Amino acid sequence: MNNLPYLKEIFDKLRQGSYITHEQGGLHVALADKFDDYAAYFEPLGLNLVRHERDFFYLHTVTAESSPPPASLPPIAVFCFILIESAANQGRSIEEYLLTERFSIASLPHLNSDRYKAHLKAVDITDENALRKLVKSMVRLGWAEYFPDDTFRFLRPFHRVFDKCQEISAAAEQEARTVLINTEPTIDPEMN
Amino acid sequence: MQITPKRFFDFCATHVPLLHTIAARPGDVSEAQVREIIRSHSDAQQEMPETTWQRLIDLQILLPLEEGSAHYVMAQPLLALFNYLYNDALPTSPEIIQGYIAALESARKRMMAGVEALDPLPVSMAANEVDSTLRRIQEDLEATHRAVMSEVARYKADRASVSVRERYMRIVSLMDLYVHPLVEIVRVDGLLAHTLSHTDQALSAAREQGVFTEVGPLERNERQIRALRRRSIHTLNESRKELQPLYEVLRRSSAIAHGATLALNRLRYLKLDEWVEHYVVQAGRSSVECPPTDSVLRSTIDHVVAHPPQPPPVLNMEESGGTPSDYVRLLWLNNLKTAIKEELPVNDLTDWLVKSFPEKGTADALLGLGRLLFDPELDVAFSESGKPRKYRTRDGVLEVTAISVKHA
Repeated sequence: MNNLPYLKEIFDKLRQGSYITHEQGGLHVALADKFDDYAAYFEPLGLNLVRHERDFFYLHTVTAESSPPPASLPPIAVFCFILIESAANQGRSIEEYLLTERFSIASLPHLNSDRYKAHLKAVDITDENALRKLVKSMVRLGWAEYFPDDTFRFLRPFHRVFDKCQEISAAAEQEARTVLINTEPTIDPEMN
Repeated sequence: MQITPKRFFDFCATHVPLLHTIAARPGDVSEAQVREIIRSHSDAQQEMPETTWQRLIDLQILLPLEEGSAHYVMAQPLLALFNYLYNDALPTSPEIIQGYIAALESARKRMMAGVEALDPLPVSMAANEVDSTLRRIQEDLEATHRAVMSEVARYKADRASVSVRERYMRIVSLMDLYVHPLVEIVRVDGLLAHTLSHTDQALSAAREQGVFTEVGPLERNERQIRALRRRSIHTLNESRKELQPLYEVLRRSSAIAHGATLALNRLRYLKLDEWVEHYVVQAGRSSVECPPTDSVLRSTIDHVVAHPPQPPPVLNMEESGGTPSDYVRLLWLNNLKTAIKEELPVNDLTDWLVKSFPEKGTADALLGLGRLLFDPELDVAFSESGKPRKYRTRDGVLEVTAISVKHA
């Protein structure tokens, strides 16, 4: 099993928390070809190798779930949710728009609305510079690519944000259904 | 004035854009609005606007809403023709289907009564009515198909700034409007299928009992019923094929938008820590730097217990007086529990092992450690500090977190 190609490179990249996407060429090809073998190799180390349905790979560790997330994650989440909501309000096809467009920091919708500003303030983001830093944090996470002309684009691992949104929506709908079921009037035998 | 088809169609042929504009306006149009449309479309050198207006009235292309009214509607047959030519059709509604069911049922009853009374007249009239109803259903099916295609095309071309949620609701209503009535037609246990079967039986009865001498119309009706069933299934499949992908994409988009909005709203009510726990993607960036969890330890210990791999046994063909080393090891392992029980509780199992049996090598020490760790009669726990210590064996060093042992 030690004969797996690029084993060291793949391990080094994944253990730093990076994603392996098509952009990584050979590493991605090797993982895609022998995913089960790599997963079996990492499993005894407590490392759960995940292949996302959009064809990128990352490590999901139990420890990563239980330890506090990096400080940059909450503002990044707010940033992403605002961008998704804004795209939806404009009637755009969310996934296609966010994964194909290049965004300029100056033209982001985040600081154009009081409501969005209030959400950002809750995570200590108040100006364009802070937004720019946030985008650069996303670059480190492997979610985005930043260009010298102060623009950026989202990369494939951004699908995890979409997944999270769907999960939140499904949970809320489930919750609503439960409330509806629980409000069904019950028959009180004493009444008859 | 007598309207000759040639005059009518000549006028229509030379005024297509004008007529289409009028046809596309919902509801009625006032005289002033029509004159304005004529001015924007006509070429004064070819025909004066007043002449165009007059011919619209004379040819009964525009009809007043009521006697003397200044509001007009386009004549229904011409409107239907435009809808047909521009693929702009209205879908079949459940109410229309109910009407067809009632008409077919009524015709069937009259046909059966005619068959029983051996009277060909009501059979003939009912057969004609069945024919006309089936034709109308057929036309409506085609109209539904055209309506779906034009609605989908309009929908895809519409780049207006309408929210994803609204677009999703629109596509859901399109499904309700176009596809569900078709399902009602196609459903094998549906009312229409039931009525069509009964009508089919009535037609067969009329034909077999020879009440109605002209067999042609009855056979035509039977053929139409079969064709209608095939056509309905085809139209349903085609309409689904057009609408379903749009529906799926928008359902996903709508869920994403809904989730994002919910998460933002909850940010106002929850503490940040709580919000992060529920609404933030646990990014895989968290490096593997934390101490391993119980499950990892367990699997690692399993590997340690299984170490070193046992070489295949070598059969010794020469008898010797000495006790085999494996047997000695087995005896030692079996006696380990008795030995440690006399000294319980032990705060550091590895320390006890290497000091009590300094002659043992690393492999034996690991075997002993494994045997004691998994003994059900012993209560084994890892030290809370979690810091590993180094222990010397005869031929190496073991690095282990302190393990305490007491009676289970």
